[in-house]
Amino acid sequence: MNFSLSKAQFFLLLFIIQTGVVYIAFQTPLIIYSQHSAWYVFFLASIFHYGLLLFFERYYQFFFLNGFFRWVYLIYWLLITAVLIAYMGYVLASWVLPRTPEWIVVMMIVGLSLYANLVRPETIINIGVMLIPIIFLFVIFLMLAIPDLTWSNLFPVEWNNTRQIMAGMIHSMYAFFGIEMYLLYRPFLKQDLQVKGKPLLIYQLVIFIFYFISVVFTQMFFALEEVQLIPEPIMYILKSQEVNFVKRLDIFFIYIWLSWSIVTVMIYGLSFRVLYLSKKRKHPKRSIVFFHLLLAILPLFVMQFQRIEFIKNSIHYVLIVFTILLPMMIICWNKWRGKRVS
Amino acid sequence: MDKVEYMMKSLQKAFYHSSDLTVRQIDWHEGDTAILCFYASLVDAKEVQKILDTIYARLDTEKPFWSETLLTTLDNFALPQAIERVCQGETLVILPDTGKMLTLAITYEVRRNLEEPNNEHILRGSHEGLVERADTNLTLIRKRVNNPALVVKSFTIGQQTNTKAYYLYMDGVIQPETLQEMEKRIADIKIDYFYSIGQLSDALEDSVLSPFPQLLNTEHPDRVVAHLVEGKVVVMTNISPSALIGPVTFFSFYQTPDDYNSRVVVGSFYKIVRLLSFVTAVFLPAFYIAVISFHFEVLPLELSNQVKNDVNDIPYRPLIEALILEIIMELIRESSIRLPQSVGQTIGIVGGLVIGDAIVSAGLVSNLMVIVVALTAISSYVVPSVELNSTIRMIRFPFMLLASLFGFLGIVVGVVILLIHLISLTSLKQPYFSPIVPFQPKAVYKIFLRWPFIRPTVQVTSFQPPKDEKGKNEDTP
Repeated sequence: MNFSLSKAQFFLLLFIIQTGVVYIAFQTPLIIYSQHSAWYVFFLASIFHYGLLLFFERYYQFFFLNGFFRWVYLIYWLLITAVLIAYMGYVLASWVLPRTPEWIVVMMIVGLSLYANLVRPETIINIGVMLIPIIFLFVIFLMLAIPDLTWSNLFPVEWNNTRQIMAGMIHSMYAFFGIEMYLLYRPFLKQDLQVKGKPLLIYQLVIFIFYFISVVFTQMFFALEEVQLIPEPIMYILKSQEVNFVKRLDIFFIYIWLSWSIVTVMIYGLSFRVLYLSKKRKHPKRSIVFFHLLLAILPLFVMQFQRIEFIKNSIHYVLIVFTILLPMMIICWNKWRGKRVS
Repeated sequence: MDKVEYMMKSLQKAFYHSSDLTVRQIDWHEGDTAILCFYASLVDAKEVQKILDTIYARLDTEKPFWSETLLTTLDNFALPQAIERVCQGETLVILPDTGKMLTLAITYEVRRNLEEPNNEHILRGSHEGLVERADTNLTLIRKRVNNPALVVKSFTIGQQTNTKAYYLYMDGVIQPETLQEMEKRIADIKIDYFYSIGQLSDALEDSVLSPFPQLLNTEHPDRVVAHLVEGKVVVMTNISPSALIGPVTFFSFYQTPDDYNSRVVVGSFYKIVRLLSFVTAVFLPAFYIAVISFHFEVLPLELSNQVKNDVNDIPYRPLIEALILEIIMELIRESSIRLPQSVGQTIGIVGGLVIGDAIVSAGLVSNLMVIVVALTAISSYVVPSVELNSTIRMIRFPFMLLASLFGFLGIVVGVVILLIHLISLTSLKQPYFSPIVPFQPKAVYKIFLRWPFIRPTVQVTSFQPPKDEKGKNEDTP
């Protein structure tokens, strides 16, 4: 596929993938498992994330996917996107559209992704720009909760509770969602552009602060017992904000989150397109349509409370395999063989 | 039948015995005979006679270069050439004995005065407008750009109508790929009968089926010049006062010469107001419908009581209410355009006030809906471009439908579709949504602010980011 990325486009793409769907919900499992230490554990997890980024930056040329692993990732992205869509439908049904049939919501999301993926790739690469102001809006309105925050909720931190820290670290994996895309899109960056050093550090700081605010706010806004009952804490914080001009602020932000998540689904579609079409195919458009057809069907099997809960409670293990272990293994294997991405 | 008679009959046949064609035998020098041929409707006969008198005088004094004046040329006679020239309003004097033809380029020029364009009013700046004659328009542009780098190239459109057209650009400023693309498209135009600028615009645009115009249509010579110095190509024809400018971005349609003729702060303020009007013009009715139909809970309690009281007595769904009013607005607009100006204003008042009041009293629509539709109409008329104005008025209907079916979800879906369309749209193969896409942080402020004018912006040429990321496309090359 013929396109190239600037640094800004590359990092914006990663930011949208990593934050898209999980931003409103990842705080709950993290706080449940690491209790008061959640913010500290997330800080440690972010250091690990930065280390991972540095590793990926150093060895991205060796992330060469042979036929087998290409299919592994294609299937993984297909399934993960289906899960994301199912979760989006589930959140919409519970917050704003209880009576709308689930398949309509799924069809809409998939339809938009299909439309975006049938036009030039630059459309998806650039569409994230439109989200920048609304993401800022999201954070600004979150700041309205500052007077309601209880600072003492952050303490005590159990520095030595290794088990708690490990459990928190594992559940912080949601914040690393889709980081394997770094390896997919890095070769498309313009060759003369440098990413290592300052640009990577800035990206890490931006994503850390963005996530860290959400973790700290959730911890300070809710008591630990409350967090266990709240699946999307950020939305509840926004719901509790009172402003003069609207009564339910959260409704607007659900739709902001929805558009943000739709772009994430589009980017997963683009990733499928990039990887699948890295080999010459006879009918590229037909395969994109087929991918989206599967995306329209698969989420319908998952969109039930128990299944969503099951996936939410176990998906981080899948993420560990596909975002950290497998890429590392592939990189090490190819480095040993001397096989690079051309 | 002698030669002269035969030629005259051939000419009449070639022009299908048209009533306004004059083919006449005249006496020429020293007993020779000539044929005078012209369209009476296109030629200023008095001027032709004056030139012919001059030519006769020269022939009598046997001057060697008797045929050479600024308005005459002497060539060998050829029927296709002769037809072409007569059609262009020139007069032919055919000399059968020598096989030559003398062409007198004196046309009867029907032209109107340089008036301010009716559809592009401005407060300050030049009030001259382009007219339906390319040479006059070129004069208006050349007097603003006294520079040989302003290149004018001519071509003809319409294989049967042979209409003269021109494209203009500033050499050294225009990007070569822009010029090549325009020249390629002009070369590919295949129109038999050219009679409307819309035909040219259809042939030159990237996506004809898109609701968004991809070439800027203007009748202001100063606007033409402003775009020329930004590296754009301007196409003009001999039959329309409109100049087509490309490549353009979505935001070009929101600029007016007034922005740059007024104070920096004032110009910036109105630029922002105009851009915000896009949001209200497209989304306000849809938002209102979504709130009333699906998301009543977003309204504060005091407001929701009032809205409830207002809406409760209306027998129709909000979508139908909105459609009734929107369609009435469109009817009023159409009728006020078609009617004479004085009557048109009356229709506006009758439609806006009388019908508006009556329709609320009859309980067909709510007061709030009248406010929403009126605000929407005002916002849509803020757009300086007639084409984009029509587009905006049209695209709010699908948004209203989506909002009535799915509430805010429908609006989100509509917005994403609109964005995907705008981002993938191109004007002469160059990004239409620039500088937002591809994102150029250093150029984005120019969308909203009218900065002190130092150097014009050059249209970005590719969806790919510039090689050096340090904010290119800001300087004139």
